[in-house]
Amino acid sequence: MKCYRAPLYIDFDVTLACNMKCRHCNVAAHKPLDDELSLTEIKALIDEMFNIGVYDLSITGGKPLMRKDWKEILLHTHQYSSWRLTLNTNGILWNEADVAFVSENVPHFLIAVSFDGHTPETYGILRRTPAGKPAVKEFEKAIKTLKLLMEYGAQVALNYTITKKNMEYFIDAVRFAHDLGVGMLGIKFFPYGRGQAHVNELELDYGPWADFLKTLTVLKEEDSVFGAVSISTPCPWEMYLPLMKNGYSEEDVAQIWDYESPLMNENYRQLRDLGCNAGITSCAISPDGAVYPCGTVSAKIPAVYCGNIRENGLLHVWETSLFLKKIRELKLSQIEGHCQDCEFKTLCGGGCRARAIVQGGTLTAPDMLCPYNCKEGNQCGYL
Amino acid sequence: MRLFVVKTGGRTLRVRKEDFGCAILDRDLYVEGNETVYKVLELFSQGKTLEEAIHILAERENASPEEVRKDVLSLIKMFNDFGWFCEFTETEGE
Repeated sequence: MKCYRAPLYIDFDVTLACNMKCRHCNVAAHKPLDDELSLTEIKALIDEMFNIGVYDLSITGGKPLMRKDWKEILLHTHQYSSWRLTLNTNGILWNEADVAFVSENVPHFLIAVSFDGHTPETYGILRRTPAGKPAVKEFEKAIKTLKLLMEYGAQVALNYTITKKNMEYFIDAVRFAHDLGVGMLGIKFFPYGRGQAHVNELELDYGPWADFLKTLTVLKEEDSVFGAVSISTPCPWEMYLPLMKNGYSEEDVAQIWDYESPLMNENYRQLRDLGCNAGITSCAISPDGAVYPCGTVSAKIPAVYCGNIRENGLLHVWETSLFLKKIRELKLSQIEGHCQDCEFKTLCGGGCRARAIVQGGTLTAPDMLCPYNCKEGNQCGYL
Repeated sequence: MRLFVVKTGGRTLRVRKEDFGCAILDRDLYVEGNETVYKVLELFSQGKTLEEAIHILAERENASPEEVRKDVLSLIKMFNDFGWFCEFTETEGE
């Protein structure tokens, strides 16, 4: 098998139920699926994930707190040591008893609170109520939860989805997080689910993204306020290209951002020459037990469906899925576009394959957000 | 799935066999090791002391215990950087 023997990183959507209807949500969460996993099934899946050597588990959704049994899920997960645990939440549904519960009973969970703006107005750019209105009142609730979590000593961080619409407020949001004493993860927008419907409004073209990342990198080097900010991008070129085109080396990127392409790992490189680690070291699981190669597309997409844990468990899907086999056999030489003669190909390895599927319709389509590809036909002229 | 648990200094590591050797999983630390690392950790997981592990490996590899000791101690030193197996350097490894 051209992959690790089991996944190391898993995004597990425990429900698609959500109290909000945010514009960028990649799983279009709001209503739960009809056939979401029961608590018994979830406990068995968690046992299996631990026993096959999953290292990093994110409990996400939807909003996990929309499940009546969310505390039992967390308790069951937390009984095991030696894995990294994250609970993703918007912080809106919490009361003080919930906060006390997590800080006292599941202290190893990192509580990652979605916070895409540091004022009610900027928060409401992406965060929307079920009626589609900016979530201004909800901002105060999320702040209250955040402060309570910190007061109770829980491990907390903020997640900020970076889009064209809210990018300009990110730096102020980092200062806001710093004043609160929490770290901030900037997550570059990926257009799927509800986000796909707003792609033209939210997607970051290369130019603005490159300028943003350069500015942030200088700040991170020079100002301690930015020490606790980190960035997550769908694929390696989104980190390397803007910085290496501006004089930074790959070692600088590693040192400043603690970021490395999977292709920097010799063991990984023995398995493939693509930088996309979907189905190699990671996968995602939907609330109905369906397995997908990547958390960016962990919704009902028949094209990337890998199997269901309800049949014979997760490891069986990992070992036998035909779609995973197809991903694992994919080679850089098959990727369309300009990858073959790109100077960054050994670091990037073909761009984002999820974006290729979502926007190009095939696994081998070019990643059209990459400036080497989008300059074709004069769609952009950044390089 | 070949996976075992090894305890060190109050921490529990899971060690998973991979084609390249092994993946070592701590709570906030992920490390990859080669086949030798896997073999050493497997012996520790079976409760072998450092000396016992060295002798078993020397026998298996048909190598001198001194050579194996050198390699294993250098591994232990690397583990110590992660906060693992400091108990060996504090006692037997001295």
